[in-house]
Amino acid sequence: MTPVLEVDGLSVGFRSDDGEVLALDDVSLRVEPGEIVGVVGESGCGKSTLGLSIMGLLPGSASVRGGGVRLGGRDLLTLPPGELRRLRGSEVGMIFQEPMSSLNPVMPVGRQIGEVLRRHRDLGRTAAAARAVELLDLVGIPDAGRRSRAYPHQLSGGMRQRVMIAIAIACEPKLLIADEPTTALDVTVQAQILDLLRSLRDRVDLAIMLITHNLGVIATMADRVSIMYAGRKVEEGPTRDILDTPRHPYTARLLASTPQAARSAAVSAAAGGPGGSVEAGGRRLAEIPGRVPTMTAPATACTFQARCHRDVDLCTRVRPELEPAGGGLVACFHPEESW
Amino acid sequence: MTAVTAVDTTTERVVRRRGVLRRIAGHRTGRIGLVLVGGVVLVALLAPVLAPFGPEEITGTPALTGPSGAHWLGTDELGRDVASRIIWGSRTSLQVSVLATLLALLVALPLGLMAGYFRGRLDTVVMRLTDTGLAFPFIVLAVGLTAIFGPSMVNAAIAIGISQVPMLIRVVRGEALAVREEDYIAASVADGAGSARILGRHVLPNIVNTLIVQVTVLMPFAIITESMLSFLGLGVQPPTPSWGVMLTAAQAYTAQAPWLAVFPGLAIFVAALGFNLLGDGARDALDPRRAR
Ligand SMILES: Nc1ncnc2c1ncn2[C@@H]1O[C@H](COP(=O)(O)OP(=O)(O)OP(=O)(O)O)[C@@H](O)[C@H]1O
Ligand code: SF4
Ligand SMILES: [Mg+2]
Repeated sequence: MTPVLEVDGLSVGFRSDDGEVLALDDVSLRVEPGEIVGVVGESGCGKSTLGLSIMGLLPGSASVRGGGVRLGGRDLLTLPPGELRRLRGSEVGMIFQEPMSSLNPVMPVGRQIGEVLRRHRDLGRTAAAARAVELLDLVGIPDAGRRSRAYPHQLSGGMRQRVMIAIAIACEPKLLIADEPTTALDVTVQAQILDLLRSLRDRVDLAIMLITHNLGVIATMADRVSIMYAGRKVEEGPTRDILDTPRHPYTARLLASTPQAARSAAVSAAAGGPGGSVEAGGRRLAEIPGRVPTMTAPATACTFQARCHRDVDLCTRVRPELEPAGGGLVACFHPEESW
Repeated sequence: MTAVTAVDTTTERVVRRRGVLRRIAGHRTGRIGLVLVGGVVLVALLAPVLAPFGPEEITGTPALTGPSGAHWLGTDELGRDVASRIIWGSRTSLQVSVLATLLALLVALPLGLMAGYFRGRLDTVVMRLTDTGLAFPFIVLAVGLTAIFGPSMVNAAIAIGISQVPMLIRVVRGEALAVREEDYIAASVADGAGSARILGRHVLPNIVNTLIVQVTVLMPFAIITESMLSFLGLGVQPPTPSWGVMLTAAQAYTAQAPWLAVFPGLAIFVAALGFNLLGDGARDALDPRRAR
C-alpha cells in the first residue's frame, strides 16, 4: 500500500533578524493508511514546522532547503498554489491547539463545517447543512441539529475541539495532522477527544500525525513514534519499543523526566494493558537540564551532546545518522543499552 | 455544556448582528441617539404627510412672519413655510450623508481589507495614497469638484465621501491587520479557503461592528459638511431646501428674522447629535471588552 504521507529528507529554514534558523534538518517520516504516528519533542524542536510544511502553510519567512513531501504519492512541494489549496481540507486536514479561538466567532458552527463541504465537495447549502449535522453527530456532539446553529462562544472548549475535528474530517481526508490537539483542554476532556480521534481512525481509516509534548498521550494513541530534537529526528520506532527500551539518551531523559505514575501508565498502555489513562500520564514533560540549541546550519556534531550523559569523544566531531536499532531507528554513537 | 469561560470575552470580537439594535437601545446614550436618528429618518420618510406646505411653495403669508399657529416656525424671505422646508430639507441631509457614506465605504472597504490582509506592496501603495489624501485640504477638493462638475447635491456627496476615504481605509486596514492574525483565519487557510472567501466570510463579518461605529461618525460629519458646502454655495442649490441653503439665506435677516437661522441650525445640531450619541452607544454596546 502506498503510504499516506512520505516526508523525505526535509530541511526548512527561517529568515530572522539574527540570521538563519534551521528549523528542520533532513527529516524523514512515513505514515501508513490508518496509522497513528506520534511526533514528540521539547518546545522548539520543529514539530509544528513539520506539520505546517506538510500543509503547505509555512509563513513567508520560511523556505524549504531540500527534501520532499509526498501526500498519497503526489509531490506537494512542486504543486501550484491552487492545487495545494484544493488538497488542504480535502486530502489532509489539520487541527490546532487552540479550540477557543480557531473558530470564527460570528458564524454558527454548522455553517463553518458547511463552508468546507461547499468548497471542496460542491454541495449545495441545504445538503451541506444536513451533512454538517451528521458530522457533528459523528464527533459526538449531542443534539447536533440544535448545536449546529450555535455560535462558538456558546460551546465549551471540548465541544469546540470536536467542531474543529468535524471540520477537519468533513471531506474524509486520508490524513489528519493534530498539533497539540488537547493541550488547551482539561484532562477529562482531553481523554474524550483522544478517544474520539482513535475511534475515527478505526471507523473511517483515518491516519493521524499526532504532535505532542505528552508521552502519556503517545502511549495511549500512537502506533509509532518519532522523537525530534533540534530540528532532527533522533529516534523512531514502535511506541512500545520506544517507551520500554528507549535507545537515544534524549528519549531516555524524556521518559525519565516523566512522572513515575505517568511512565508506568504509559508503558502499560503501550503494552495494551489497563491503566493507560491520559489522566495518569497527562502531565507535561518536566524540563531536562539545558536548552534545545537553535540551529543555524546543518549539524556537524551531535546536537544533544551538551546535555548528554553518555557522550563520547566522537559525538563532538561527527554527526550521528539514523541507524537501524531494535525495531526502529536511532541516531546516536553511544545509545542506551542496559536493556 | 460547561460554559463560557473567561477566555471567551477576550477571544471573541463580537457576536450577532440581530442583537445590535437591541443592545444599543439598552445603552443610555445609545437609546437617546436611536430616538433622535429614528426621528430624523421618520420625518424624512413622512415629509409629504408631515409638511403642511410644499418645499418651495409660497404660502401667501407675508414674508418674514414670525412663528405663529399657522406657521410654527414662521415664514422666510419669500413667504415660504420654514417648518415645511426644514422637514423637506431633512431628506436632502439624509440623502447626501447616506450617499457620501456609501461612497466612502465602497472605495475604502475593499482597499482597506486587501491592504491589511495581504500586506506587502499593495499595502505600501495604499498607505502612501491615504497619506497623500489625508494631507489634501478638503475644501480645495470640494471647490475643485464643483468648479469642474458644477455645484449639486450629488457632487457635494461625492466630495464628502471621497474626503473620508483615507481615514476609513486606515480604520479598515487596522482591523484587517488584527483579524488576519486570529487563529480562525489560519484554521480556514488550513481548510483550503482562498483569499477571497477568507476576506468575505471571515474578515469582513468580524469587522462589521467597527464599520457600524464608523458609519455613525461619517453620517453626522456628512450632514454638517453638506450644510457647510451649501452655505458656501458649493452644494445644494436654491430653491431646493437644505438646512445649509436655509442658513445661507438667513444671513441677510439675522436681526429681523432670527428664527430663519435658529431652526435650521437646531435641525443640524439635533441630527448630528443623534448620530454621535448612537455612535457612542454602538461603540460601548458592540465592544466586548467594554461589555458590562
Ligand atoms: N515564524 C517563525 N519565524 C522564525 N523562526 C521560527 C518561526 N516559527 C518557528 N521558528 C523556529 O523554528 C524552530 C522550530 O519551531 P516549531 O514551532 O516548529 O517548534 P515546536 O516543536 O512546534 O515547538 P512547540 O512545542 O513550542 O510548539 C524554533 O527554533 C523556532 O524558533
Ligand atoms: S551521539 Fe553522543 S552526545 Fe549524541 S546522544 Fe548519542 S551519546 Fe549523546
Ligand atoms: Mg508547536
